[in-house]
Parts: sequence; C-alpha cells; structure tokens
Amino acid sequence: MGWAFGCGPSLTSETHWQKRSRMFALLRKKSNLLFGLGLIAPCLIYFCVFFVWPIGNMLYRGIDNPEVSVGMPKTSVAIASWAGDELPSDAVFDALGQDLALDGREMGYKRAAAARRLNYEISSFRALIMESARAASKLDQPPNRQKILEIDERWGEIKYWHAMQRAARPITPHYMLTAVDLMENDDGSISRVPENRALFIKVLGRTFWMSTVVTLFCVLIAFPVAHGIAMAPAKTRSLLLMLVLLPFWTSLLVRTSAWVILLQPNGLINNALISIGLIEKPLSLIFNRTGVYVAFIHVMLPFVVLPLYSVMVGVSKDYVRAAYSLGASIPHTFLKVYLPIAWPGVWSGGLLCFVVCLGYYITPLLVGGSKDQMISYFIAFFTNRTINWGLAASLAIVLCLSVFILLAIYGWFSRKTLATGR
Amino acid sequence: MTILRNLIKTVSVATVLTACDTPLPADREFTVATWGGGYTDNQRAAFFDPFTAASGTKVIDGVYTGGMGELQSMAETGNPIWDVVDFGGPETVAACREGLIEPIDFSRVENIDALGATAEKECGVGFVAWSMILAYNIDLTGDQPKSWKDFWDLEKYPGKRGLRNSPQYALEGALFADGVSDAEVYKLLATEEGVDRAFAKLDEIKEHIHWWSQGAQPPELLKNESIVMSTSYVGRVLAAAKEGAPVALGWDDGFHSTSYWVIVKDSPNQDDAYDYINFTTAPKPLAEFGAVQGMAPLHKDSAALIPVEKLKDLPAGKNLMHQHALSDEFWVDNLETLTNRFNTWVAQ
Repeated sequence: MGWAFGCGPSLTSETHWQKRSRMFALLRKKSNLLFGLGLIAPCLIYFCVFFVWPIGNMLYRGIDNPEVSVGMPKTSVAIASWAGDELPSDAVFDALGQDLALDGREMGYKRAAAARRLNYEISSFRALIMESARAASKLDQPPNRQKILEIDERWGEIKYWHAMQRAARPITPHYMLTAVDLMENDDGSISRVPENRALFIKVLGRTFWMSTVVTLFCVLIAFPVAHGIAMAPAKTRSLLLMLVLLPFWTSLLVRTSAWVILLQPNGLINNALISIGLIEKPLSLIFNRTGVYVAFIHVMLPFVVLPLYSVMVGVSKDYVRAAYSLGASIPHTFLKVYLPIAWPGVWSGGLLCFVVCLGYYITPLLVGGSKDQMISYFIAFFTNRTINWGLAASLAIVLCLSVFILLAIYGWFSRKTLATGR
Repeated sequence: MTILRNLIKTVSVATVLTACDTPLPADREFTVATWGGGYTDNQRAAFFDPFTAASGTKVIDGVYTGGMGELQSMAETGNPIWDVVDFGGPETVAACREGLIEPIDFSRVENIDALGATAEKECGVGFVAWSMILAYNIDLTGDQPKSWKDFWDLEKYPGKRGLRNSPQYALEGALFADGVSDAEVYKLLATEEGVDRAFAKLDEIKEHIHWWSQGAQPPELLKNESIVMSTSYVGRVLAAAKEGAPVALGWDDGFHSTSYWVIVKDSPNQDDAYDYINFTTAPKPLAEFGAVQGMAPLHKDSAALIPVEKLKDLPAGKNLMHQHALSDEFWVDNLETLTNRFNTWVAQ
C-alpha cells in the first residue's frame, strides 16, 4: 500500500516501510476525522453562529468598557497615568476641554453614552458632563484648568476624576462587582456597597430559595401523579398523559393570566370561600409570594411529571410484587424497592425544574409583588428600561456561573451515589 | 459579509431582547409602536384607521412596553423595525441624547404652535397629557383624602394604601407629605440626604403600603376593599366608577406628564412619520383619543370638540392647578440608582 506514496532508494528498509504505513494510517485517521467533522459541521456551525457567538458576545459586555474611551478620547488617554492623590495635571484638564469642545451630532451621541457610563460611577456625573459640554465652546484653546473649574466647581472634587479614571479603562470590573454588591473605591480597593444599596446578592438568594421551594413542591405533587399515570391501563394512560401535556402546550401567558382571574380578591376562589362562609374578607392570594408559588408550581409541574413518568413506566411491577411476597410492608417496599429505582427520575425532573425556575421571568412579573421578583426581572430591567447592558450581562454571568456550580455539585453527587451503589 | 454581520448582530441582540419583533426588510410598512391592549385599540380607532383612510398609508402596530432596550438594539444592528413610537418624557430626553431617535424638524410639524411649549422636545412631538392621581374608595374613607399629607394620615384614614411599584411618585409623594414644596422636591431628591429623608418618611407607612405594578390593579383593589386609597391613572378609575364601583378621584397633589411621538433613528419611512404626526396632532383625532383614554389633547382647539361632561375628567385646565409636573430630566439621571435603592428598601 505504501507504493502509492512514491518510491525512494531506501524503500526496502524495514523502518521506512513502517514509517510509511504509519503515515498512511494517520492520514486515514485524519480523513475519518474530517469526514466526521463534515457530518456534524451544520450542527456545529449553527451552534457557534447562533449560540456560542451571540451569547459570548452578550456576556462580554459584562466587562467591556468602550463608552468613555470613545466619547472622551483625549481625556481617557491623559487620565490613564494619573497618580490619583491630588487633582490631575493641566494636561488632563486641557484634554477634557478639547473633548468637551468637540462638536458634531455623532460626537454628541458618543459623549452622551460616555456620560451615561460615568453616571454609573457617580449618579450626578451625567448632568456634570452634559452641562459642561453645553458651556464648552470657550474651551477649545488651552490652558483650560481655570476655565473648567469656573464652568462647574465639581471638577475640583477629586472623586469625579477617580470615577473618570476607572470608567476610561478598556475593560472594567465595575459591572461584575456591582452584580455581587461590591464596589471599587477611589484608592483601588474593593469593598461591599453600603447596606442601603446591597441588592443583588439578596435577589440571587431569593431566586435560589424560590426555585428550591417550587422544585420541592413540584416533586411532591408530581411523584404520585406520575406513578398513577405509569400504573394506569394503556387507554387511561394516554388520556392522563394528555391532561399533563395540554397545559404544557398552552401559552404560558394564558395559564398565568388564568391564575390572576382565579386568585384575585374577587376571583373565583375567594368568592367561593366567602359564599360558603369560611372567610369574611377576601384572602390576598395574588401579587404576593403565595400567588407566585401557586402559578409557578402549576407551570413547572409537567417538567417534573414527564421525566418521572418515563422512568416509572419502565419499572417492572415484578420488583414490587417480589418485595411483597417476601413479606415487606408497603412503606418498606416503597422506600427500599420502588423509590431507589425511580430516584433517577426524581433527580432529573427536579434538576430540570430547578434550572428552568432560576431563569424564569414572566410568571413572577405577572403574579408577584415587588418582593417576589427574581434575578431575571432585574436583567430585563437593565436591558430594556435603562439600557445598562453591562450590568444586565454581569447579572446573567452570575446566574450562569451559579447554575454551572450547581451542575458540578450535582455531577459530583450523582457519581458518588453511583459509586456507593445507592 | 455585512449582511451576515448584521444578521449575527441582530440574532445576538434578539437572544437577550426576546421582546423584539422579527426583523423585516427595509421596505417594510409604516409601523407605529404603542402601549398595547385597549390603549392600542383606542389609538387604532382615533389615529391609525383614519390616517390610513386619509393618506392611503397602512399602519402596522407594534407593542412597546416602556424603556429604551428595543431602540438601543435597533441602533446597534442598524435595523429599525419601528418608525414612530409613543414615548414618555424621560425616555424622549435620554434616547435623544444618545441618538436613538431622530431630532425633529419642527418646520415640518404643522400644529406645533397650537400644541404649546411642552409639546416641543428636541426629538419628540408631544400630543397628550396624562395624569397620576389619588383615587379612593368612597365607602371606606368617608371624607375625601386630598393630599399626600392625607395619604400619610393613618389615624384619619386607617387601612392599606396603594402606590406604584417604583421610586417614581413614591419618593416625590413622601417629600410632599413631609412638607417639601414643589420647587424644592427634585433639588432635594438629587442629594443623598433628600433621598434618605424620603425613605425615612416612607418608613412611617411602609407596613400599610400595597405596591401595585399594573394600571388595572388600583381600581380593582379599591373596589374589593383591599386598600382605601391609591395612586392611579385617571381612565381606569373613571371606568370603574362608571361600572358602579364606589371609587372616585381627586386631582390635587397628583402628577402630570406628557406623551411624545418620536421617530426612530434611521427609519426608512420618515415622510410617512411626519405625515402621521401631523395627522394625529390635529384637533379632531386628538379629541377622539383623549376623550376615550382619559388623556388631555395638547392641541388648543381639541377641547371644543369634547363634550363638557367628559372634559371635566381630563387632566387639563383647572384640574392641573394643584398638580406637580413629573421631572423628565431628574428621572433620566436617577431612575436606575433610585430603583436599585428602592428595591433594596422594599425587601428589607
């Protein structure tokens, strides 16, 4: 076979022959690999173009920091080497003057974006930039220090210059730190934000807590349901499955709004309870945590029932019968025989439910109050309302990371239980 | 290559902005984005359909739910899927600064003199005024609560009171209840001490506040006696009162603001947009829309076209005499910081 690769004087030598054959094998392996890659290429390209790239691009915004270096180009360069212990040199003031005096519509837009970015550092910074730029026509000729300080005395406060220096870097930790309630101080140290501004850790904790509660309830409710479906005769089974799938296929908005109608103070449930005399005043069942849990569990149930069912339907009744015939009690049979076999279904259904819950947005928004909003509400707020996409991306990163950590723990845990034979 | 790059950009933005509509080709039909539901229906009856009948230009309606996320993504992808949007004041200011909407050429706006000074923003044409007022349950309050001081008076008006789930209105209301004057309120809220003072005042009634998030809630909550009084939009309360609910409203100490038509940056249908703005700021369409929506037309000749009994329920004239103007500039700069602080405070 090696002939195909051409002849040489040392062709007969044993080592050369082996070498050629090895090369050929390698080539064949390579072409196999290429062939395989070719087969999965559409999928791979799709995955990269529509998933990895856009999401990576979006997440990169969590550290990207272009606004100030684009909107105030000279100042960004000049402030980079500032030592930070006293007001910057005349050169920095001159650069600021030149940046503020740049005119033209496009430049104005860029400066406004820079001002928005600076406002994240100090909440009066946007106004300072916009007002100074309005008075900047006299700033095109240096020296500018005195003129700038006359336009607005806040330029004499060192905290604005520290904020400017932080915001002018090409990459920033600002959003990531904010997403975990930390901040960078003027001296470069990192500390917790004041108590009255610490929000996101609390929200993240709330997100995990609510997801846990929903998952637990879903598993508790779904277990008997899935068992019932799995044990039912074939005809009833498909009907019962249909009953699970129908709400699953119904629009989420419709289901959530239906709960609003049912749970509101003069809704069906309250009216029924009042008319049979159980309560006098309507219970508040909606726009609070109760409402969120009720609607949430209903929305999530199919995610748990279906995996559980698919495991349970494969469990032979013989195991249970065998346990009974050997004298085991019903609880004993359930705990020692049935539950261990169904356990993978509980895990996968529970995990699926939990992970989906973590990113849920619309249900808490429609039936929750202000104390019931999860982290996705804030991601949407910063994306849509205030276009602080950096912070939105950072919150998304924090959420993703916590899911990855959770999955790692789950993976470790399930390997361990597998190894110990449970 | 540019097409591919645009496509990728669009997809990447759409991944996060699920609210965004599907991108359309550049020669798409004229699209107006507005607030959805009954509000869009009222605009269709008063604005879209008559405009189509008069000009032959079809109007597609898009759903806008507030904020600037969609416009930012349209600007980044260079793919404006809307032409005209029904914007609030703070958004008009902020989007204009960053070039997300077109500066208005007021020589092309026919009615601008009749619309008055508030209608003229660098990038927006005001068309109606709206109001956030104090609504109450007649049976539960006895005496009408008339001010933010009354709102804070737990002895005279025991029971829960509703506020919108936002630092907007709540912080201003707290300072008014604390005796701050109209002229001082935003100056004070721009300082740390002013914000502390507002939250301290809110602490006094924190346990008695029911936070609402959707405009339909306050009349419902008042009707079923979950709360005794609440901030609310005008139209919703009037509709509930008409259906016989024991609710009423007072104008004093409420807030008023303006809605603007804005033109999306690089919209391919700008001529249609100006035609549309000119058509909808004429007296008759404005009067029709304002009367059904509980909003006041800005055109000075519209009032004559609205029946007197309807006119007295609109946020205009003497109804606004003791109202406060919501500051667009203040909320552009502070909405984010104060919303974070507000959410922290609510959760405590």
